[in-house]
Amino acid sequence: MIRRQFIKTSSKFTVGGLCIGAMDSLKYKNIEDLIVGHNSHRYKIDMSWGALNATAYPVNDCHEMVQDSKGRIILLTNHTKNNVIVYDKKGKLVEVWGTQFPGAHGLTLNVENGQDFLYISDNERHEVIKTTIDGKIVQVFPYPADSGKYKSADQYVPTETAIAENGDIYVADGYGLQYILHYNSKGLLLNVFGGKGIAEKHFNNAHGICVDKRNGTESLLITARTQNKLKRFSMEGKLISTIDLPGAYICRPVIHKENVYMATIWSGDGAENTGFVSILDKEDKLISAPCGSEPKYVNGKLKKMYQTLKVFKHPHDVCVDDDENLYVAQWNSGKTYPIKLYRI
Amino acid sequence: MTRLLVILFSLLLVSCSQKTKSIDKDLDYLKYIKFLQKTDNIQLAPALVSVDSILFVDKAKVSVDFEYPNAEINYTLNDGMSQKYIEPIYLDKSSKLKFQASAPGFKTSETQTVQVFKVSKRVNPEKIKTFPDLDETYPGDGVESFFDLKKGTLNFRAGHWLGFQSEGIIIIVDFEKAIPIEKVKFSLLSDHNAWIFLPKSIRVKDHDYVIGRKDLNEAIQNTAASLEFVELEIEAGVYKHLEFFIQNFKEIPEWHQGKGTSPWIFIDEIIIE
Repeated sequence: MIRRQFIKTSSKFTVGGLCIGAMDSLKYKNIEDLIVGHNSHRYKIDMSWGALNATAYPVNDCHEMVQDSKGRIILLTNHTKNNVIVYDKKGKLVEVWGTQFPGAHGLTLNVENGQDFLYISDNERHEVIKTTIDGKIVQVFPYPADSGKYKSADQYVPTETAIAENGDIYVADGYGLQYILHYNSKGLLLNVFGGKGIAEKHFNNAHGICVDKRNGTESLLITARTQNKLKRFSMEGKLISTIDLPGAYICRPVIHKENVYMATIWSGDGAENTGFVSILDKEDKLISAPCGSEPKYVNGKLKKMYQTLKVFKHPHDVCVDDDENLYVAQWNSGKTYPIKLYRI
Repeated sequence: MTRLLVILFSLLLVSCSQKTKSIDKDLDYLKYIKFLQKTDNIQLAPALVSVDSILFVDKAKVSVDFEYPNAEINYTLNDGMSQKYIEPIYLDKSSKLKFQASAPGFKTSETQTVQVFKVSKRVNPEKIKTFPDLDETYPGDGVESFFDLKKGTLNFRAGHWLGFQSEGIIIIVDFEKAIPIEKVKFSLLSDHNAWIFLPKSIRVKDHDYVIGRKDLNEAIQNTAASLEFVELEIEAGVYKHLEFFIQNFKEIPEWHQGKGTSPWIFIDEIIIE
């Protein structure tokens, strides 16, 4: 909170008391004076956060990021020299590990009996791997042959996991046959739902999943990225509702306090390099889109979203830290390191 | 001893060369970050341009949405004088529009080109057959998509597009009654980032007789995604049966990351004039 107050004060100072809310672009020249986002969620941009020696610590796609219990920021990349890069919040390198995850894609952190664990969805290994926070493999969820839905392992391309309060694990097969697989903590398959299709309960690119406990009971939020929708399911796999986000190709929902944050990899008509960040309020209404158009609802429907500033290429995940700042990991963006957004 | 010194010197050279490479890479990245420190190096995105019907019989409506503080949209109609976009544009002729977004303090957006085409009437073939069959992932709305006057967008994932990844595509069309034809336009997508290229050639046959042909050049560099039209003059006549032979390039060009693999061809409409 102290940091946010500092940034608020410094930004007012930087622009000499000019009305920054009016966003008069004539009044700033440097990126540190630029403010992106809307309403309650506005940010300053730090392009150089986390930049490392690319030969010593290379990245390919920066797929996902989480913050661990020690406050460190953990990045998952599909470069097998160092699949996991651990930073402090200032972007200073702490450590790297991981050489055996060629398709490292989804990264979920879960605290179990006071200990941090990571769930890595690997879409080349066609399995989910649970590790300790320092990279020791403790459990593998292999291709679900016993589900009866798959003919071979390569049809199963997991992209994300979500862990329920009771330890059950939900895996989204976002690049495969689009099923959601529900396991207990021991790895026993309990249920399969979703699947590819055009019905509301089906998916086209079930890319990300999370457990939503904001209203006191658990439900699942699952992105149907190509459909520009976020779908809410019960923990038993029944469709509850759909949130339409036209023009927003959302990757995975990340819940922080009362908001849902989502990297939006493409926008508008889905052309390349058109990403931004989407932020929903507690009513699941889009309230801010850093580097995207201002969200506007007409007769209860969101107007089609599009990119406005080319700061991001292909945002793939957002990590929200305990200072409310964002870290944006990008897919297919010239092997660049994450971009940090400081909340003001 | 001398041999040992030579080995040590060689190792030092290799190590220096690797270090230089590393420093170069880092410098490039730092340059890139520094470049984006100035907002006038940050580019505005292209505006969201919506067309109610790119292929139209009577008129087309073109609307533009781009809300950013102090931004304005300028456009040209058929490469004429630049003018400020204020309200939707109605067109009753085939036209080409170019849009650019600008705002003080930022780099102007890329030029966005939109073409609309007036067609004399919609044709409804009695039978349409393709070889190979439609791709499971990109089947458009079935073979009828070739003649439904529904244009796809730059997003190849978002329907209307029929995607093929084969060396040749044959589309056979039969009309209920013979119709007069003098021109055929293929509406295609070019999106090199998505490994989608224009074809090598298109031939139109009436049974075994070639009535039109167009050859295209291989792409020589990566270009932004674009909606393309390839026009073929047809030996004017009345036709009940047409066969379209679309020849793909054998491989993606050498300069592309997908070199050596088969390119995709995406078609969303065949316009018969």
